[in-house]
Amino acid sequence: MGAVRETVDQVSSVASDKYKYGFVTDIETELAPKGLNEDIIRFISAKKEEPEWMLEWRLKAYRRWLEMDEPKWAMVNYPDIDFQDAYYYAAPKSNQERPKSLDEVDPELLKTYEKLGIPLSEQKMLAGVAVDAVFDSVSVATTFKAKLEEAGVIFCPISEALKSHPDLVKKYLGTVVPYSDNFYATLNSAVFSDGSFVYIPEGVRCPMELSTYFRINQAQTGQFERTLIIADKGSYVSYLEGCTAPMRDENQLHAAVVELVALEDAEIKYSTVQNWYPGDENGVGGIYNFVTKRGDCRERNAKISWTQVETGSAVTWKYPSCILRGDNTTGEFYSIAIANNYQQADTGTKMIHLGKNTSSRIISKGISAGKAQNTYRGLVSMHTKSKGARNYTQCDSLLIGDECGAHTVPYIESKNPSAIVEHEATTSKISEDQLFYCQQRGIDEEEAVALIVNGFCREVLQQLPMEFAVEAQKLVGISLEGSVG
Amino acid sequence: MSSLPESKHPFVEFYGPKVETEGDSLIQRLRASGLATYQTLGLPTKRWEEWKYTDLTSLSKKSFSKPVQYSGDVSQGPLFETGDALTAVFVNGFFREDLSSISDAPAGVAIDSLAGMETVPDWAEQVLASSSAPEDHSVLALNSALMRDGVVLRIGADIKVERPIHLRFITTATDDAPNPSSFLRNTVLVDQNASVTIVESYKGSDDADYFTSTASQFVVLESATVRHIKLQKEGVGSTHLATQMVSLSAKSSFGGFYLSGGSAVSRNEIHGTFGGEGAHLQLDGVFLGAGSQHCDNTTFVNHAVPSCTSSQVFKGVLDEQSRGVYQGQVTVAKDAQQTDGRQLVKTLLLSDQAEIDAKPELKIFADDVKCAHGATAGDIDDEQLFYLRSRGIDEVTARALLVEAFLTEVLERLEDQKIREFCQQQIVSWLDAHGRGARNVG
Repeated sequence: MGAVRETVDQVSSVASDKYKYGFVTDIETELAPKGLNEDIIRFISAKKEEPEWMLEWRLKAYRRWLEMDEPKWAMVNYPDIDFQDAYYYAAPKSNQERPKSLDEVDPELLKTYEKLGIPLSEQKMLAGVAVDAVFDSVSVATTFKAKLEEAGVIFCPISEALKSHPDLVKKYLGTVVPYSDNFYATLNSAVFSDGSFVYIPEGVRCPMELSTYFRINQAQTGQFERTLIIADKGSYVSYLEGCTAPMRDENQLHAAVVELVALEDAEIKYSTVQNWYPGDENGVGGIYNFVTKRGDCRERNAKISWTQVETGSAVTWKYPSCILRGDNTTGEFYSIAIANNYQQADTGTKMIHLGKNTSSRIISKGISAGKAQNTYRGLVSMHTKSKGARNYTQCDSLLIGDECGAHTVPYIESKNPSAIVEHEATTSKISEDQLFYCQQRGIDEEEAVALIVNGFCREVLQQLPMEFAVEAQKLVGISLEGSVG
Repeated sequence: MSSLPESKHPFVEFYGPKVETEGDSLIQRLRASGLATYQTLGLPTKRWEEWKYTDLTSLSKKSFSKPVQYSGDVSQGPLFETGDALTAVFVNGFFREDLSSISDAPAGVAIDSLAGMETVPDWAEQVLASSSAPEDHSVLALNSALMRDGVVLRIGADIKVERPIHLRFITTATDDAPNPSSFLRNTVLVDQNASVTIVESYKGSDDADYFTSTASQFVVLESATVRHIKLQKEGVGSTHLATQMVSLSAKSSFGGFYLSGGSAVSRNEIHGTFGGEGAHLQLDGVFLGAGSQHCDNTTFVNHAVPSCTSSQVFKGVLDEQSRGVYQGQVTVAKDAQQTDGRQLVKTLLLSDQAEIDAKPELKIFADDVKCAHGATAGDIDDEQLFYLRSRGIDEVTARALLVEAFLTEVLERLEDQKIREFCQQQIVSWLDAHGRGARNVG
């Protein structure tokens, strides 16, 4: 095992290079005072020139939040969070006057995005991706607006949508994840700073894939995005979300809420590559990722598909769900969750079958390495009226090393005899045979592990849009560096 | 005699200082600590994760009669005719020597009633103290506090007991106790290389609202083999809470089979722990529900040491408004490499109002393991039904055949042919009583 030891040493010596997105951009930031109280909420709301009803809604959520307790049921351990010890609003100062075009954007910011590999520039136009980049909390620049406007698609920061399309926001905001939903969603409802708003009008197939890149830059800031996507009758949209954060010693909180509404015959495909800073090899630092994501297939034949590749964050607590309300609606959840070193992930989905002939499919691949704990937690619920509903669930866990844990906690509730629920789960490790086979052909151990893990995840990787699939495959390899031997 | 603080929790008033607190034996201490735990925790609520699907609030609203001995006639015949079995009969929670046949126990088999023993032998105290269930288990704590009687059984080393040992628990409403409650604790030690079949059967009056709390502790030493069959056909109005604890030493084997068909609310909870390598634990069950019955099977299997195997198959058939629950937790500890742990739960829902809640859970802290679980729920497969009907079998018969076939997969795991046939018979008569698996559209 000498050679292996060497590999491990090499890897740890370049540990600081491992998280290549761990840089800090030096821009002056406008911060709200530290802490959380009604004044801060009024401050955020005023800064964003929000309508009165929005402020009321935020305050209602805040008052509710004060009465709530932090959830403790997940299989994750972390020190108590002091919610008064964070900034709830951070906006790049140089951005107070919103730029009209890319030329006006702070070059420092553009450099940040370049390092992240988000081409906001011409190249991206060729690639055909419209990006709504969220830098800390304020949306910096939005490309492709014109082309989307032509199709009638609204894709803008939610703060802008509150001004330009207040009726739409008011009609749908909080209808999937109510302000009182859970501790973190309620906190988000009170203090959310920005996020994306998407509306696809009736019968429109969104001409390009929409993408948001989230990034936490300012130290000690929490990030609370709120994303709302509405696909009107017969429309289609594919939305990509990527996340990275700089390397810092302290833990940062990320509590986003994503709401999806699919009306009759509409389809929403939501893909996430989450690569928040996971903390170092000793478990210091890293993002707490406590996210509420939920889609509502509100009318018949609607379809919502979640795909996630979760490689980052120190602690992940995330359950993208589908409410299959309309008849014949479909929900899908494809997930890869990788936890290495001291990472902890408790993630899964909920499929709530309410309508007739609804179907759902869950494919979850969990990989644990180092001293990480990885839990799949999911609910499949067949209600009395879900006649002819179907679910298929497959949860596979892969363990690398003998100090990590992989857990599966499925909840299956069926109240309908004509509904068919099938659940399968397996746990295994990378076999010596597989490794030997690769190594014998000159592939080194680390590469072999990446190859085998990529094969293990293939069913999920295939679901990702092409550009993301390539990045995700690389991430799978990077996340597991130093995990063998 | 110590006076007890006022408690809002049911049954605490049964804690008679006279019986339970005298002396300082391990049993007395167990009772006292059980009472303390129970008084702190109370009965489980649905807010507890392990009790998410089973609601015991009805228990606190009922009033049960204090356990009293009954020596009158018991009209009920045995649930299970075991022929040559060594039989220990308990009525309303107390041993009835006149109905039992344990006096001719073969050499190497020591069988007694807990209440009848002047002093509890050391080995039995050790078994009692070696619970594989968690300490904050309020239902078990309640049983510990109020345990009155039960069997104390030891199978000596190398003894292969040919005759099954049948523990019959019967509850009947009496003038003294119209709503009887019983608190049973069975203690079983199986020495090295011994082998035994133990049958527990529970039966009671359909017209009484009664409560059975039972706990059985099995300590299985090296290379010993235990076959445990529990048949629960309590009265329709009763509540039955059972906790089974199994500790397995190296190379030992425990095969449990649990048939649940009675009670308004029942829970059969099994805690299995491996203490030595090369042991095998098999837990199988059939649950049948109708009316508004609630039937819960919950298992915890703890692979604390390497190279052990566990395998579980539970199958349920639920009709009318009944509700079934299966929760299975398999934990593989950090060093328990080479573990093989499997769980399968399948349920047929025969009615629009029936419900199944399943939670097969894996907690794995070791990498060289093979663990899998599967769960399905649904109605009888249309294609299978069509296959039979196209051969001229009417729908009712065809459905009954398919339900039987569905359950056969579990029954086939039972080694003992006599017991298998009996279970088969139970299933057939259940089907006869409940429309032979006919679709109950409500």
